[in-house]
Amino acid sequence: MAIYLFAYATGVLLLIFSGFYGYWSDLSIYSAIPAGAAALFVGIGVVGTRKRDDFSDIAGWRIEEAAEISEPEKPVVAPAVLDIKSLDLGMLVVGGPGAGKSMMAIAYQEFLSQYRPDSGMAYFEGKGDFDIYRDRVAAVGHPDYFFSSELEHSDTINVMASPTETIIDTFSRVFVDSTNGYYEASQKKAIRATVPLIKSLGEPVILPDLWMLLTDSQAARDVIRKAKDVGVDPDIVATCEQYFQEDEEDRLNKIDGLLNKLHPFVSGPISRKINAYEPTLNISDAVAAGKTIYFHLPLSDTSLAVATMITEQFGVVARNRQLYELDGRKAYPLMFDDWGAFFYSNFGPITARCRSAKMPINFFFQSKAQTDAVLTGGIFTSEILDNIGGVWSMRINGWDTAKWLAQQFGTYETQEISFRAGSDDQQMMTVEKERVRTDWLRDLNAGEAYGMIFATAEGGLMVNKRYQLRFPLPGKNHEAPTYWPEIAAGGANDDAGGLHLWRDYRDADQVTLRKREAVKSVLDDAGSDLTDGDDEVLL
Amino acid sequence: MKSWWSIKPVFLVLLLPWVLAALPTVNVGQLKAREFWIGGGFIREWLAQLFIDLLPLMQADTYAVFFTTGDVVNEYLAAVPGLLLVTVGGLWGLYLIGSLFIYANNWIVRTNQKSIRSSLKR
Repeated sequence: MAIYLFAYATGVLLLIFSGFYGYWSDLSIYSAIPAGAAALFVGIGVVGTRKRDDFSDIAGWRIEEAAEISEPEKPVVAPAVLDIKSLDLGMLVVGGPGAGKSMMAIAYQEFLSQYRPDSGMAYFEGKGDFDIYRDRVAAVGHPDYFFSSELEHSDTINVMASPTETIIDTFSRVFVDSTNGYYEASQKKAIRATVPLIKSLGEPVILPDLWMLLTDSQAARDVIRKAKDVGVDPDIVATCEQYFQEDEEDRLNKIDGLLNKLHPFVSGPISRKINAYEPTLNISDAVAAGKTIYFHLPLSDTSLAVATMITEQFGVVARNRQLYELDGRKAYPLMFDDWGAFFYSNFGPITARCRSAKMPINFFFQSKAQTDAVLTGGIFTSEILDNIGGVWSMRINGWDTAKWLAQQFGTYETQEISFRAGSDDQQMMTVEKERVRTDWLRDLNAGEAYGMIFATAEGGLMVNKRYQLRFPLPGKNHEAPTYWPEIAAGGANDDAGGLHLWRDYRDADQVTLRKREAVKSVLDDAGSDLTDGDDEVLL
Repeated sequence: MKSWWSIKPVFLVLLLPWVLAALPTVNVGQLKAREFWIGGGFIREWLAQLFIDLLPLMQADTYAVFFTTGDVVNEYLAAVPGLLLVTVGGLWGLYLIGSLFIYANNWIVRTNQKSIRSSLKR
């Protein structure tokens, strides 16, 4: 650096000299020599002494109140720009109640909506408060879709609108009662035998169809026959046939646990929202079109199951983006706010897939214990940390979580000099200190955070920057709503195209009536004199 | 640890030629009825010679006339281009010496600290 300052000074001196030389030489051609030399030195000095911050051109989320604490003893108090490339890898935000996680999540969505207006995002809200919805709408605007596990008005989805294997995996995880190994195997067998068959018929299928197939032998016979008619893979048909050849009472006893768990989703209040032949919210289409989705899922057993099924659908979307959307993939961030209790064993692989498919996952939770509780051998927490671009610690209440987070910021080496009393002796010690102390994380104000995030620059330069900052409050860019959204009801299932096992077989009298009509039709066609008592023979 | 900032007084040495060139020229031998001139005049003359060598022939004459016929102030003005060149030369000489001094000094301090650190860590 010093040499550039010397060059700069030389340039200035030569510039003055060239003025004198030009004067005394009557601006002869030789005047150009000192002038050129002056320009050269000044140029070298200017270029060399220019503050060279390779990371000054970072594009991203600008936070006004920030201090870079990569060197804690020399904090740089200046606005921070959180690199969009790192934000697109996802973030982990941990904070106790009232620390400002949800406000930060909304502020981040506000930034994203302004930075990339054409890209969508999905916000999974696990608390269920209206305040959050109100502030989110005020900052970002109304979401394109609003799905709620509890409110009456909600967009509708079809939890069976996924590939067969995904449904089998999801249902095995969500609906199978695993308290007894024998019954667990039987229930999984039931799912594996029936789901491929109804998914192969080429018609929209909903969860009640599966329920009816499992519980109504007539429906099972009809579906198997239909599958043979439309040319479904014989292996799939044979597997299903074999399954239904078991004694019915015995078979139903074995899947009693499965049916019990399925029941609330087939006929309960949530059923209409998650079992639509023509859903108003098709997650795959919404992601492709860059729409914003607000998932209102206050924690309950029901919302837990629904959340798992929705998460699996996002996994499918991510896989399709990985495999088939090769160019121009737009980012589609997913924000899981207060989602700690919703983690489940397959969350890790799905999030890894989402990240790879430019669907960065952002977690907002209260405690490390929530990720530790995920049944993947206690590695989920590490898995998250290893795969995300930034970690933010807001105010933490618990010591263990605070200590764990403080450790994430690492240590730095510094020197301390001590003096011996009564003498001039001094001793220098090298000590290693925590970059962020555990106590500090418990003394933060709402919205304040310690964090680290990667910053990237041209030529593969990358540095992990540590900050203490205060996230901005969400703006008031739109009119705040006074109540939850009114969502127009989608088309009724009975009027939509689909397999319709539920509609056609739930009423026994209707089934008998249809049987009779079918027999009559066959008799009329054949001109035979068979009586009603032979219905069963034909069917 | 030394830095250019901590040795900044050394830059005053660059002013020395400017001060010396501004000194009056006096005859210190007149007490003994002799001529013994000392002072800035000789330095101004040397500086002027330095500059004359760089000028084209015709213009060098004009410059020489100005220098030889002018008063002390004119002499000093005529010496400024030479002073600038000397300052540039001095600047880089200072850079060389200063860099060596800082490097050597800091190497000693660093080595000393390193040995203290390693002994404390043991």
